[in-house]
Amino acid sequence: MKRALAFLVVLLAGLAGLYFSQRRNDPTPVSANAVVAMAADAQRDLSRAPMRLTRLSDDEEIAVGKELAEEYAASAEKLTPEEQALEGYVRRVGNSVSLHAHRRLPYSFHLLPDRAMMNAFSLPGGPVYVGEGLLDLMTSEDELAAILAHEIEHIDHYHCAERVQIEARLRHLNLDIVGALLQIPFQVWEAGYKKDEEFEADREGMRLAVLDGYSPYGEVTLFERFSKLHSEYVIHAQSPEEELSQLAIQSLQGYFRSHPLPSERLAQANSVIAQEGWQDRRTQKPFRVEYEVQNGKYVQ
Amino acid sequence: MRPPAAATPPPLSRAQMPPTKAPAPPAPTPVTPPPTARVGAPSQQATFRSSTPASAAPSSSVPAATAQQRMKSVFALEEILGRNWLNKIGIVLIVLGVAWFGIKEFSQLGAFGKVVLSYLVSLALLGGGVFLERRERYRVFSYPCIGGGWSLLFWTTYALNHVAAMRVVSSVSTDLIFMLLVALAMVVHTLRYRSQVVTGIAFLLAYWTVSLSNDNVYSLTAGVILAIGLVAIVIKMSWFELEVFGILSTYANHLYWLYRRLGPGGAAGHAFPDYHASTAILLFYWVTYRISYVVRKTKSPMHEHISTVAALLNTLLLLGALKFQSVQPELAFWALLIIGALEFSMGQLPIIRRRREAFVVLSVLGAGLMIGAVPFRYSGNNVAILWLIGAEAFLAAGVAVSEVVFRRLGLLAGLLVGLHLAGIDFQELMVARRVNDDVALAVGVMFALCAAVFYVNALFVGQRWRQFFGDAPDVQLIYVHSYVGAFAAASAAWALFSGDWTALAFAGVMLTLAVLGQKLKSFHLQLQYGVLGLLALYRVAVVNLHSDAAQYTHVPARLITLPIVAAAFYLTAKWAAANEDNNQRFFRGLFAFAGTALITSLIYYEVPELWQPLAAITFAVLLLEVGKQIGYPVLAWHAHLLGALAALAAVTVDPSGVQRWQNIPLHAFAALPVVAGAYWIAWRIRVPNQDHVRLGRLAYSWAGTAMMVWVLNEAVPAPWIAVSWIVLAVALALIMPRIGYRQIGWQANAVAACSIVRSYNFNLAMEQPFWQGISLRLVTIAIVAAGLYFLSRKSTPPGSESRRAIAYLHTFAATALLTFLAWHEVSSGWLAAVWAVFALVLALVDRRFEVEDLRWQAHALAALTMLRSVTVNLYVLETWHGVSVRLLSLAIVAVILYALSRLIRMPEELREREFHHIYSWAASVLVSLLVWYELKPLSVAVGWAVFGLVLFEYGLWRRIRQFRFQAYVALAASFGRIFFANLTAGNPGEFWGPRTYTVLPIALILFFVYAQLGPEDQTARADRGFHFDILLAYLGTGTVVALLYFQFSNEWLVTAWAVVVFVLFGLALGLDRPIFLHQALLLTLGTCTRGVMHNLFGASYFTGSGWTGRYVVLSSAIAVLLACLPFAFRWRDHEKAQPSGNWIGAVVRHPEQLMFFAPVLLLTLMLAVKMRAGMVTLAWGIEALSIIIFAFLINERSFRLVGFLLLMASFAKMLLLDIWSGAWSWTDRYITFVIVGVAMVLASFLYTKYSEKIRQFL
Repeated sequence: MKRALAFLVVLLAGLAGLYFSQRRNDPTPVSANAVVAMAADAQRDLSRAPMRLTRLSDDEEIAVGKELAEEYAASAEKLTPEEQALEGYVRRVGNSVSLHAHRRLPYSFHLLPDRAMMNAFSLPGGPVYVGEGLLDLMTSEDELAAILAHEIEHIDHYHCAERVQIEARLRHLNLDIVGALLQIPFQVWEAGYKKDEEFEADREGMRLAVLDGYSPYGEVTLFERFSKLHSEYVIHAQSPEEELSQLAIQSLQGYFRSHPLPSERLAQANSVIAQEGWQDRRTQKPFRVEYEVQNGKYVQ
Repeated sequence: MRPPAAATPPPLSRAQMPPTKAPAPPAPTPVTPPPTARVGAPSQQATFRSSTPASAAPSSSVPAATAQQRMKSVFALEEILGRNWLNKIGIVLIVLGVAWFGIKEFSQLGAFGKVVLSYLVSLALLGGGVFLERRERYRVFSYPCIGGGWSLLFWTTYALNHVAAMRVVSSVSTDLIFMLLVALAMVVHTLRYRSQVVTGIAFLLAYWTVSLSNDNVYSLTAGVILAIGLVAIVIKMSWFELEVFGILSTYANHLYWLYRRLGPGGAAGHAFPDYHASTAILLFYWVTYRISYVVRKTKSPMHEHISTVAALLNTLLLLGALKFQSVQPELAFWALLIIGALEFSMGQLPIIRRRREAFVVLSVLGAGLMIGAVPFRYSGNNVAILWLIGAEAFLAAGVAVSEVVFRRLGLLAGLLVGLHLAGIDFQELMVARRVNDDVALAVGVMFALCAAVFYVNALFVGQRWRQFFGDAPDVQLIYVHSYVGAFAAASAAWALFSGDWTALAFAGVMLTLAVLGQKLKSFHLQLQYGVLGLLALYRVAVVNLHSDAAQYTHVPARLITLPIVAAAFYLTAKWAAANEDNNQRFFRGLFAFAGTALITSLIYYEVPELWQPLAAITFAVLLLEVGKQIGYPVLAWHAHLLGALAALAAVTVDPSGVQRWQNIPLHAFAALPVVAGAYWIAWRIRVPNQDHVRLGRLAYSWAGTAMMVWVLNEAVPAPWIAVSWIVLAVALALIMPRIGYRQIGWQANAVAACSIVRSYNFNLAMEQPFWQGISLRLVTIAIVAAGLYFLSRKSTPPGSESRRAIAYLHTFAATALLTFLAWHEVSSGWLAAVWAVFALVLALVDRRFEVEDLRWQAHALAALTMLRSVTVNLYVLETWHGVSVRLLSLAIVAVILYALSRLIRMPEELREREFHHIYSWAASVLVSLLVWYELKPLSVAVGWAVFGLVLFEYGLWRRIRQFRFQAYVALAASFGRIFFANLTAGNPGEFWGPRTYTVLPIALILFFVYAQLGPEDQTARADRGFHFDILLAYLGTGTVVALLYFQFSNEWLVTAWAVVVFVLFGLALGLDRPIFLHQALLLTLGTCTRGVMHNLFGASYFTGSGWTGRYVVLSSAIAVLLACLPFAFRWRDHEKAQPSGNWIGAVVRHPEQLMFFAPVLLLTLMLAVKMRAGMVTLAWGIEALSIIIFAFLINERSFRLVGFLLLMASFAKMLLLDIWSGAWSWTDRYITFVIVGVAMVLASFLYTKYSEKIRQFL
């Protein structure tokens, strides 16, 4: 009798789970994200000990960053006066935020004049690049500070340096040879980092921006915008075979690009705000660039 | 080696209480102390003996060591290390730490303060040692304290003038007097104990501390004083081991002084001011220690061996030091020559000749140095000539005076000459050959002469004075001389002959050596001419074949030299075999084969392509007939090889069939002579072994039939090839009974198989019509099928055991042809249903008429149906009268599958093994697929789990285990599914969401099903036999662990898992289910791995300041894991009565080991990674001491060993890493040395104090 009762309870629990899951209207994407996340975490964790034990020195990292940045130097010369003003604005905010970083590195901030580029990335040793398309999404200086602080933290926490080590190892590059770094395509830097590293850059970047007087909600509003954009592009499978095919593709993509979802990043941002007691710092500065053009020359 | 107490009695003042006699040992010890104990104090063994219980003594009647005895021997090792060595190492560290403090620390204390502090520590160590030495138990412990105290006292006295930071005495001579007084007191006092430990530590530590602070050449006077004192003690006490360490310390001290002045590269030819003084001091050291070696009187072989080490070290270290400070490298020749001559001369002194080992050492050392000196002044051929002269001189002297040392020196020097010939002179010959192919007369003559000398040594001297060269290693060395001679002879042949004639020269030497080898019955000569044969073949392949010449043109040199070389090989084959055993016959066969290969090559290069099959088969027939005539059947094997080559040539010539006659390619005709030759050989083959005859006949007849198949393939139009082959097969089957050769029947079956393959590959794909809507495919396949049905009854030889199998194959092939025909005719959606119905009909016919073939064909068709359903019907979207064809067709298939599981016939043994449930499995798979198609993605895992639960309950109720097995698979699939849909469902940060309310029921179902499989349930006994209960338990826990992975933050996961470990331990004990203990142990490993990889190395570089950063998270996990120790100890006590098993069983029965070691490992790594670099070793030392104290408190030996090993690891890290690390400041260094040293001394004290108590636990 007890056994039959136990069976009924367990069966009811299962049926209840079935009922609630069937009633749920939000589509659940089927993906290998869980496995990929665990595999990526494991892979990252496995690589951490060697990374720590063979870390590049600051001087080596700065030299690597300079060599990589030379490829972008040409595009900087083609900026319009408006773009120069925008870059000056980015540089001013970036220099202010970077003062609070852990490592004393020659941070520099650059604009990529491409309105289709909604991305930012950093290079080892200090260079940070922001796409003009990403700036178009912003409505406050605090959002800009959040993005720049995020990229600074990628450098500050050795994510960029470790990527150099990993790429050099995968591509069998000898970093002592001049020009070897050019074999690393720039898409590698634009592709983002592992989930933990992105979370760390978000978390520490928010702290960096707040230390410089910016609102932590700059990051929150930006992630809300990213989350909205992301949901517009996600396609959900309608049959098992679609599930399987998407699963295979997502597994492959996800393994190499295990970015956290914007919703996860948003949740962490809100969690940090609650944890640090920053709920009263909601006021954000407007995104404002002031400039004039006189005789074709930019004037601040 | 300590001298016996009776031989050298202690001084009078201690005569009343000699250490070796004071305690009367109650019983002999069962454990033999290792050599280190002998180096220790005289009373050490007595200490062990006095404290060993008498009951532990082994009985002489027990030959093999018991486990307890082995444990005791391990314990003895630990005790020796713990009691004897930890204190010594600790004292060394303390002394060095205090010395560094004195040298490097400038800010805390003045020079006077540091001198006072250093003296206080010295006196404390000395006083403490003297005080403890009076108590028998602590005597071993006290000796290092006394030695360390004296060494620190000597160093402090030395530092009064020579250390800048401690300089309180300005006069060098005053300080020298003080040092002499302290050294004298040290010698007198330490000799009272008659202990090498006390004296050794005092002297060696004095060396080390002095070396830390050497500032000018006068500071080396301390080393001179110590060396003289040491030699005096060594000669008086015969402590030759101590002298070894003294020599090492003396030269190391001097080298360190040189290193600090000259850098890692040494002087490198650049003069430095103290060069002459340094050289004089070095020579003084060498003379001092050499005199000690010459005048000593050894009393045992061990004394002599240790003295040998000292003698070698003295000279080698002297040479190393001279090299390091070398200012005039051109004097190296004279230095080596003079030192070598002195060593050799000393070796011939009568006082040395009386000590055989010393004579050998000095003679060999001297000779080696003199030989080694030659290349420093001479080069080129002169070196080889001088060495050859020396070698022959030594050899002659050795033979003349019957001295084996001189003979071996001569033989070894000869080897050196051989190495020079190979490494230098042969290289020069190769360089000359690269330039041109002219005759190199000078080098050739030199090699020829060397060959003569070495062959004289090997073949004449070795034979004439056989009594000197009969034993190892002389006999091996003399053989090596003959190989060097062979090398020289081959080199001479290469140098003196060129072009096509080199191969002939090699062949000539080969033939000569073959004749000599046959006469002397020498294996080594056989090996040598074998290698020369290889050389000749290589030369022929590279040069004499002239493969770069145009094909099928005649090259005169090739036509001349190849037959001559082939003849040489055939002749060598005649001389090659020393006797008639298998190895020798094989050796001979190699040469004969080489001859045949050379003639075959000649055919290949000289005969036109279309005629090559004929030439090759003719040569094969010729070889076969000649072999029969001369009685050498090996040639028949050559004939087989030639026959195979002829067949290969026939099928590969003109592959595109360009050359034709009446639309028939000519290469088909070229194959006919080969077919004829093959049948000829099959008819004529005669060898002694009748099995080989039968095998050859079989092979050649099969080859003939195969060639016929190939001819038909080439001649008949494509659609009718399969038909022609089946006709050939039928013809062969009809001929077989007429000629009575059974292989013809098998060949008919093989040809039929070719026809089947051709039909499937070609005819099924044909689309052209034949007549009035009947396709050509239908006609040809029908003929082939008819032929197959005919062959199924007629092609098997009478009485063959394979008749049934052959019939099966033919009917299966026919049915398969019809099945594929249906595939071409029926529409896609209904094909699975048609096949299923066809399978059902076959099964019913079999059930009615018992036609065995059809039963298996029904099985195969059912399998095809299932495959078709899964791969095609699941994706069919068309409808039939508004009803989905997919649903209808799958329903029909499912119904037929369930019907087949009841109806289909199969052998009883298979039915008993439940093979018929394959059909129910297939039906369940279809149901599962439908669940997947119908439910939402998030619900699929729960749906499968509920389906599995229902299947399980039904299987348990009806006692059908296959349903339960299907349930387990469904549950496992449910577990796997959560990783793809459920674990990432819901919103981040949401604790109670779709993730939890879908995953938790699955875990509940898994644990519920696991609970039903308890040992009390008899129905599920088979399930437990397959370990499904274990699987479900692991899946349930795995579900929970995975859920925690996604519920908790990455940092705290390690603590969450540790809590699960704690809960699992509780469950294991509470429910008495070991499976949870196993999981707890595995999860402990996982937790620690996660902690190391993620929290230690994966943590942020800069989050140390936060409360979750540096220590808290990992410490909490470590604390929770350590909190499981009481559970673990209870489990160990619970399992104590269980029998011992393998190592996994041992881990399970002793979970406290893992539950202690894992967190300790985590803690140790945490200290390594999180602590400041300079403090890691210190932290480890304190951790180790804490573990040792904890182990002593709970009486756990393995824990104590871990503490001990960690202490040793701290010491090793300090020694191998920290000292050389730039990040280790001087402050870190002396603090770590002193603290770790104190930890070691305390640990040693604990080992000493509790040694008897520890023994009681064994």
